[in-house]
Parts: sequence; structure tokens; C-alpha cells
Amino acid sequence: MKLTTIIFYLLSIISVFSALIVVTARSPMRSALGLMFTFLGLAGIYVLLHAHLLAVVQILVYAGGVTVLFAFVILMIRHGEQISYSGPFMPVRVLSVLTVLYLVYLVGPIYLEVQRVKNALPAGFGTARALGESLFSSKHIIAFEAVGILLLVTMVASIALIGRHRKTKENQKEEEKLENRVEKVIPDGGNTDA
Amino acid sequence: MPEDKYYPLAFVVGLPLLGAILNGFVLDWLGRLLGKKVHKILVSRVVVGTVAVLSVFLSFVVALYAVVWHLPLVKEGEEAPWLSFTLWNWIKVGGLSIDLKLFLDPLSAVMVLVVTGVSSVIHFYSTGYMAHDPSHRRYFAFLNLFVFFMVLLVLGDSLPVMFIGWEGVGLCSYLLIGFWYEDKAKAQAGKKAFVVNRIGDFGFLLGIFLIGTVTGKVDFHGIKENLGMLGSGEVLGISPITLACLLLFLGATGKSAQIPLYIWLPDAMAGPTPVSALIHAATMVTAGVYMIARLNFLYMASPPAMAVVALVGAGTAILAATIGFAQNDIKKVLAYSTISQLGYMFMAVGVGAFAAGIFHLMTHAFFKACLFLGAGCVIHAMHERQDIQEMGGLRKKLPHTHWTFLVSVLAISGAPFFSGFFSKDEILWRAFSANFQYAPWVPKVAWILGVIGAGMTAFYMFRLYFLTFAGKFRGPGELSNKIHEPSYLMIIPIMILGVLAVIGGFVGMPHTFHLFPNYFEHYLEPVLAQMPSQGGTAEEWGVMGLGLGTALLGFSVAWILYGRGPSLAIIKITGTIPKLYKIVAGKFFVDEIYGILVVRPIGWLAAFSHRVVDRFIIDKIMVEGSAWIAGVCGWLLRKVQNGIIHRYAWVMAFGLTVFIYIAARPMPDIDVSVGQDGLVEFSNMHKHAGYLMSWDFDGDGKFEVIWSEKNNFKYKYPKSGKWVAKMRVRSPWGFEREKKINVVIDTKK
Amino acid sequence: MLNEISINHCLILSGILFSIGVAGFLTRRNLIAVLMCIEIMLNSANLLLVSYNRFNPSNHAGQIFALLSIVIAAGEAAIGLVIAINAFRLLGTIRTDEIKEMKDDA
Repeated sequence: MKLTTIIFYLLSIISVFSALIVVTARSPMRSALGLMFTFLGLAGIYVLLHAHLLAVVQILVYAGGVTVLFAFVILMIRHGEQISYSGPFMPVRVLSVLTVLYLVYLVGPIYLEVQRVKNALPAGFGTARALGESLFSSKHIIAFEAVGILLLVTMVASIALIGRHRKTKENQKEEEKLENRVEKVIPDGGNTDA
Repeated sequence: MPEDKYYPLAFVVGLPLLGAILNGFVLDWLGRLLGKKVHKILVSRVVVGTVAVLSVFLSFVVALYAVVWHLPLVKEGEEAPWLSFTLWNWIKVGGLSIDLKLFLDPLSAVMVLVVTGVSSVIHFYSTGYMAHDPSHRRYFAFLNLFVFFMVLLVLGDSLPVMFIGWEGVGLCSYLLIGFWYEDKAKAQAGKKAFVVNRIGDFGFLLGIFLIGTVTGKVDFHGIKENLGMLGSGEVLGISPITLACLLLFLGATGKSAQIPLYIWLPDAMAGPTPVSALIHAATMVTAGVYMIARLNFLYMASPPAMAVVALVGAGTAILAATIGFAQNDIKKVLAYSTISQLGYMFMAVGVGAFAAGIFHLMTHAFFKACLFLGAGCVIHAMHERQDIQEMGGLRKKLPHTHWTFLVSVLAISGAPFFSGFFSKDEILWRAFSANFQYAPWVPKVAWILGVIGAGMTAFYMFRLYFLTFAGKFRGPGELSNKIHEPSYLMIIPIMILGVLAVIGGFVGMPHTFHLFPNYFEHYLEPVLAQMPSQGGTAEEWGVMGLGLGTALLGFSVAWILYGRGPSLAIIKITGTIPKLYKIVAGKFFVDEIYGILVVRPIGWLAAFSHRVVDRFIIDKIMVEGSAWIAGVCGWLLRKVQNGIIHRYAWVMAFGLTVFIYIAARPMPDIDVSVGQDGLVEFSNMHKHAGYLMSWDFDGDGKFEVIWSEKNNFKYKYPKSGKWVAKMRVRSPWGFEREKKINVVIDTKK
Repeated sequence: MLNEISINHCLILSGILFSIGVAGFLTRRNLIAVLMCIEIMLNSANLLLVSYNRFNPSNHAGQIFALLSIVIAAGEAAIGLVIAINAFRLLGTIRTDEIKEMKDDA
């Protein structure tokens, strides 16, 4: 049993377990935390797979950015979560498990086909330099630039969509209405389980 | 001898059409184009009338020229001469080819001369009669159009071309009967004429179809050649030739007003009197007779049909005559007399005396047109009154009219040496002497009815004459002073016709008189067949005498009862039989019977169609129903969109699963090609990555090839017969499917 | 460096992660949690890409694609969260079974 094998299994167990936490946690904060650990586990696996740049980017962007983003938003939307959350009821849970197993079954037997793989790697595979050279070469430059523009658009869009929360007279009434509505929602007890 | 490009024929047909177009459209448009003054001149009565009269008269002249100069008289036993003109090939379907072709032979020569000649006279008369009518242009356009169609009918070389004319004259009849269409009754009369005609046309068309399908030809020469084909076989239990004759005869009863479809003719008197003269006396109604004469070879080959024609003709002659006894409208009396005389013509052709029938057609055209035009003068003088009970004593006030009217009445009654005498007598003699093997009693019965009818004809015609012209004027007082003869435009035509009514018969004088040969019959001999007749000269004189006697009897009775106006005697007679009188005066209520038996059920059918089929089935069920179904589907689909995002997600996942399942299924598609000597090639055209296939070629259950990726195999089968091969496919996901292939080997190839 | 770990292991791992993501996506009723499950699914796809590239290393296409995928996923997460916030402000709730605004009431 090689070290890399053990590390691989460890990391995969972390990822899977964290993913399960994301799915089953009661409080969304816990889900966010689980998400972060999933990202970290995956980053480790990327390292094992000789994707160095990608691993780092994963940590920076996903674990560092997306997770924090989720955390912020969850904290902003505390009100909506003061309801007791009983989780999905039993048939749903069973169905979910079955879905998972079924999908695994569908996906799994791919292994039948892909036996021909190479284990030999060229030098410098997956390093930042090599990746950078590929990315900025004529093969992928267009995609790269396009994604850059997409990012710009996304930034602008998210700022535009958030709107500005002005407190004018009309807004005041609306806000009061909202709070009333929230009050009404709260005593419901949240028994409208799906 | 037959020329195919005989242009004058085109002129004969085309001139009236040109007149119609000019009067109908061109003069009006041209006038509008050229300014108001020119327009006024172009559509004035003078111009319109001249165009109309000239177009028909010139047509007559051309026809005359064609007949006299180019249609030679032939000796006995030779083939008939004819000239033809082909316009173009109209229909060419499969083996059937119909040309628009006109042709002129002795029979159509007689017809076309009568038609165009009498038409010219009546057109001329119309310029006077319609002098005060505002729609004179429309009138003349329609009248010219009618002549065009009638000439087309007469000159047509095949049944379809004749049918064009047949339909066309029916149309013009409708247009002209309902000419004063603001009067609803008159419009209804036109409609009735057209509808009843249509019923007959249905039979006519079926006859054409039958002849066309059995013989493959619909032109007269072709039918004559292929006559034998119609004799064999059976259609609906009747021999096809008889069926075709009867169907065509149904058309003739509609067009020529015989039983059972005569009911439109009396109503047709609602049209202007010249129209009644032209269409319903001289020309259109004779089309049926002409048709049967033209197809004489067809009818001679079917004795049952001839018997039917003869009996129907004779029956109609009697029936119409009896109705004529009690009519009080001058035009209605003449209408029934027309029906009756047409019955005589049909009787003639029914017993095989085709020439006699056509002869009577010609003489009838003369004296009946004269009678109608004279009646028109009387009506004009009486300021549009038509009741003969209100007339009387017009002899002195309308001398010319009176003289021509009297002459025509004498002709129709069969007074010796007038035209009607010769023609009617010929018919009666032929009926008596016909040697009809099939049913010898038929001609005899027809003859008896004909003789009785002759007496009746004399009676009611003289009744009409006396009540109108003799005695004292019975109408309203102030009218008496205003009665005067009409203008020369109306007098000249009736005088022409009157003269013809007197002398027109001499061309057909039977040879028993030993004065002149029977030109008429000889002229038509090459074209018309004849029923053999038995009986000698003595019998002929006897029959003639009998006919004359009955006519004299009728005249005497009429003179006694009406000689000086309605006498007390007739009033007493009608008083004693009021019920019978009512029935006769009511035309035997045939119209009413038809109304109940036929018109009302059709009304029910129409109401049913409207209320049930149209409103309910189509509107409610089909239209609103499909809308309702669309609505229901929408309602159902709306239930899916409940806005719960959760639910959407599940549905998406479910759909995805289904897609993956379908994608994961392996597709066993096999192409089998059988080569020689039992070597069969299998190939799986769908090469999917990762598919593994097992093959069992010989159907023994044991797989020869197990799980290989190769998809192209050749296998040799040991012997011929039916083999079932199997193939199993496995996709990378592990799903397997099987497919059976049937292989049939035939080593004998 | 990897000898005993073959591509199959990576594939199975990816499959498991994907399935968990799907399960959570279908089951959770908190909108934010749903978005998180989407992120898990995206990550499993990235893993697939990278592992295939490791075992077919003729070019770097897999890793580059995965890189771009990370970028896009981050952007999508941002927008999704913005929408969630707006939804909360407008509707007062972020529970998927209570948001019925898309219901066809006609």
C-alpha cells in the first residue's frame, strides 16, 4: 500500500463525508462548512493528480471565495431560517438514497471500458508554467478571454441585480409589510415538508 | 366529302355569341370609354336591337348558304353528307378524347335553319315588344346567348358538346323566365324551370356516362360504330342500351316538358311573351325531340325504350290537352298546347317515325311561335291583361293579329292543307301502321290517344280563339277604347310566321297525294332510320279521314259552346260538374302533389342538414369541441405548473433519468444480405463505442461468437430453409438486448 | 506517482460526489443549500475532467477546461446568491416549497 494510495483514500473519504454533511445538515451554516471541506479534499486530490495550478486555484477561489460568499449570504438571510427544520421526511430520504445508488450504478460500469490508460507523464505536466503556456497559446486563448469577459459581466450583473435598498416612504410601508409577512410565516412551524 | 375545317359553321355558332357579348358588355364599356354622348347612342334601343337581330339573322343567312350550297342532296341508299368544323380538343383522358366539334348534316341543317330563322323573326318582334322596357340590353344579350347555345346544341358532334348547349339553353331559359326578377313570383318560376330541368339533366348525364363507359365513345359517329357493344351485358337488370335510352329520355322529359317533368312550362309563361315564343315553343323545348332523332340508331336498337317514349308522349299529349280545356290565361293555354304537341313529337319518334317527328317540330315552330307572338300583340293591346274571359270581340280591333292567329289555330287543329295537317297526319298514320314487333299494341294505343288528342286540340284551340276574338268585348269598359294594333315591328313577324304556318307543310306532303314527293322525308332519309310500316294507301286515306273527322268534331263543339263568347250551355255544363271542373282547372293538382311528395321531404332534409349537421355537429361538436379539448389540455398542463420549485427539480431529475436510461440502451440494428450459395453477411451498422456483441447464427441456442467487438460476419448456412439467428448486444453500462433475425435461404436461386 | 490508483477510482469518486449533489439538490428546501449542492456537482465534473487529463496527458485541455469551469461556477454561484437575496427581500422566505410565484393561476 503506497503512501499516495492512503492519502487518496483519506482525501476522498473527507470529500464524500463533507458532501454528505452539506446535504443533511440542519443549519445552512453547517452545510457551508461541509462545502468548504469538500473543496479542500478535492484540492488535495488535484495535487495527487498532477494538477498543481488547479489545486491552488481551487483553494483560492472555491474554498476561499465561494465558501465565504455563501457564509455571508447565509448570515444575511438569518430571518428566513428561524423556523424549525425537521428535514425531509422518511420516504424522501429513502428516495434520495435510492437515487444516489441508482446513479452510481448507472455511472459505475464505465470502468469496463476505460482500461487503456497511460501512466507515463511528460515532464512538467500540470505545472503552472505548462498550464500557462497552454492557456495563452492560440489553442485556448479565445476561451480564456471569453471567460474573462464573462467574469466581468457577472460582476456587473450581481451588483446591478442587488439593487439599492433605499428607505423611502413607499419602501417603508413595504418593509413593514414584509416584516408582517415574516411574522405570519414564522408561527407556521414549517410543516409543509416536501 | 367530310371537310373538317368548314368555317361557316363557326360563324353560325359564333355570330349570336358575338351579339350577346356586344350587347352584354362591349357596347356598354365602349360607350363609357368614349364619352357620355357616344355611350347613350351605343346603348340605345336602336343599336342594341339592331345588333341583336342582325347577329341572329346573319347566322341564319350563313347557315342557309352552307346548307344550300355545300350540303348536297343524295340519292337513296347513299351515306349522309356532312360538314364539320373542329374547334379544339376539349378533353383527353385515358382512351377518351372529346373534341369541340360542330357538324352539319341534313338533320342538323333542318334544325339550325328552323332555329336561326324563327329566332330572327322573334328577335325582330322583340324590338317592338320590349320597346318600353328599361332592361332591353340585358334582354337581348340573354336572347342572343340563348340562340348561341341552341345552335351549339344542334350542331354539336358529340353528346358532351350537345350537353353544353343543353345546359346553356336551360340557363338562358332561367335568366329569361325570371327576367322581371323584382316580381318574386316570376323569379320563382325561373328557379322552378331550372331546377326541374336539372333533374332531367341528371338523367342525361348518366346516359352519357353509360354510353361513354360501355362503348368508349361519346360522339355520334363513334356511338353508331360501336353500337354493338351496348347490346351485351346487363346493368341493373336492364340491357345497357335500353338503360342509356331511358336515361337520355329522362333528360328529354325535363327539357321538353313531358310527363313527369312538364310542370315548369306553364309557370315559364311568367317571362316576356317573345321568350315564351322562342324558347318554349319553337326551340328549346324541341331539343329533346332532336336528341332522340339524332340518336335514332340507338333507340331503334332498343324497342322497350321506344315503347316508353311513345306511350309517354301520347299520354302527355292527352293530359296536357285536358288541362288546356279549363285554362283562362291566354299564355297558359298555349303553354299546355305546346306540351301536348311535344307529346305528339315524342310519340312520333317513339314509333320510329323520326322524320315525321322532326317535320312536326318544324311546323309547330311556325304556328306556335305565330300563336305566341299574336298573343303577345293581344296582351300588349289589352295593356298587359291575359285573362281570356275578359277578352272578346278583338277581331275587329286587331285585324292583322286576328288573321294570323286564326291561320295558326287552323294549322294546329289540322285543317286540311295547312302545315299542321300534314305533319300531324303523318304522325298518326305512322303510329297506326307501325310494325312494332316487340309490342304491337303500343303504336295502336298511341294512335288512339293521338286521335283523341287531335280532337281535343281542335276544341281547346278554337275555344281560345273564340273567347279571344269572337263575340263581344267582355273586359272593363274604359279599356275598350284603348285597344289598338301594335306597331309594324310586331306585325311583320307574325305575318311572316302566319304565311309559313300555311305553306310550310307542303315540303312534307305525303306521297299518297301524288302531288309532290315528300321532300322532307327524302332529305332526311340518309340520316334517320325508320320503322317499317305496314298498310296500304287505302288505310292511309282512312286514317287521314278519321283524324280530320275528330278535328272537325272538336271544332264544332267549340263553336257550339263558345262561338259567340261563353254560352249558357258551357256555364250549365261546368255547373253540373263543379268538382271535376276544379280538378281540371287546377291542372290535376300535379304541382301540389309534387310539392308534398318531393319538395317537402327535401325541405325536411335541408332543415335537418342545417339544424343538426351544420349547427350542431359541425359548429358545436367539431369547432367548439376542438376548442374545448384544447382548453382541457391546457387546464391539465396548467396543473403541472404549480410554482413549487422543488417539484420542478424532481421532475427534471426524473426526466434526466429517463434520458439516461434510453441512451444507455444498446441498439441492435442488423443488416442482413444474402449472397450466393447460402453465404450470408451480417453487419451491425451502429457501431457504438464499447458495444460487445454475441452472435448465434444457426439458431441452436449456442452462441458462436461471444462478446466480441467485431460487427461484420459472414456465415455459411448448410442448407436452405428458414433460419433464425440471434444477436445480443451489451452496452458498457451492462444492459443487454437481444434481437432475432429471420434468414431465408433459397439455394435454388 | 500514482501506480495503484487508476482512473477508475477517480471516476467512482466523481460519481459518488455527483450523486450526493443530486440528492441534496432534490431534497433540500433551503434555497442556499440547493445552490451549495450545485457547487458539489460542478466540482465532481471538474474532478472528472482532471482525472481524464491525468491519464491522457497529450495536452492540458482537461485542466484548462476545469480552470475555466471553476471561474464560471464561481460567477454562477454569485448570481444565484444575488437572486436568493432578492427573493428573500421580496417574498420573505427562501424555502423552495413556499415560493409559489411561478404558479400558473390562469
